[in-house]
Amino acid sequence: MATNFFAEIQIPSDYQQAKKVEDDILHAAMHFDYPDQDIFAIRLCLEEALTNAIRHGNGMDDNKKVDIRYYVDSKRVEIDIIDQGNGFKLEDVPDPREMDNIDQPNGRGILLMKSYLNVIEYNKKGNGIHMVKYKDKAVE
Amino acid sequence: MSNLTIKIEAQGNITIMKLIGSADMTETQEFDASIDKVLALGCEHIIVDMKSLFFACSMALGSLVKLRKKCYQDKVKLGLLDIQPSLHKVLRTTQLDNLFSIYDTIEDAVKGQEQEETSNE
Repeated sequence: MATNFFAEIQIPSDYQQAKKVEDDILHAAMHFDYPDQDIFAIRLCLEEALTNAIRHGNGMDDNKKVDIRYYVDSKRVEIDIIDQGNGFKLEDVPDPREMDNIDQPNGRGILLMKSYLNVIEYNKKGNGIHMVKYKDKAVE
Repeated sequence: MSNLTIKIEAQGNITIMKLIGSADMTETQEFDASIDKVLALGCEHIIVDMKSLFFACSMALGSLVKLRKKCYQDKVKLGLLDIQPSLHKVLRTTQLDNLFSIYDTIEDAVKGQEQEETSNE
C-alpha cells in the first residue's frame, strides 16, 4: 500500500489536461480516506488555482505551460502550481463581497482558497501558489 | 463525458433549469450557453434547481451572477432551489447567499417571488 503520492507535471493551458491532474490528486486523497468535506475543499481549491493559472496567468495561451507539483500522504495534501504569466499582486484583487465588485469575474476564487485551505502562499512574482490542506483539520 | 447535465423544463410561466452533476472549469461554456438559452425563452420566472448539483467552481458562480444581472435587467424573477450544504457554504463564504433568493421547494419559490413582487409595488 502506498504511503504517499508525489508527482511533478507540466501541462499546457488546457482545462481538460488540468482536470486529469486534479482527478489524480483527488484519487490520492481518497486513497487515504480524507473526509468528504476535505475532498470538496481540495477539489474547489485546485479548480480555482488551475483556472487562475490557465485563464488569468497564461491567458489561455496554448504555448504557455502550467507546472504542478503535488505530495499527498495520510496527513496532508500539498500542491504547488506555477504559470508562465506576469504574476499579480494580491492587494490588486478586488474583494468580491463588496457590492461594487459583485459583477467582477475575479476575486471569488482567491477568497474561496483562503477560506478552505490551511496554508496558502504566493511567490514573489505572483505567478505561483503553494497550497496545503491538512486531513480533517479546520481552517483557522 | 460531461460532468454537468442541464435540463430545462417549463411549468406554466416558470422555467426550471435543473443542474445535475458538477459545474467545474470544463463546463462553464456549456453552462453559459444554457443560461442564454433559458433567457431567450422569455419567461417570467426562472428557478435554478440545484438539488443534484454537487460542485460549482467560482466561474460557475460568476455565471449565476451574470444570470441574476440579466434577470434584473429583463425584470425576470429568479430563485435558487434546494442547494446542497457544501454549495450553500460556498455561497455563504462569497456572500452570494445575500444576493440570491434561495428556496427549499418550487412552491416556496413561486410564493416568495410573488410576495417580493407585491412588496415592490
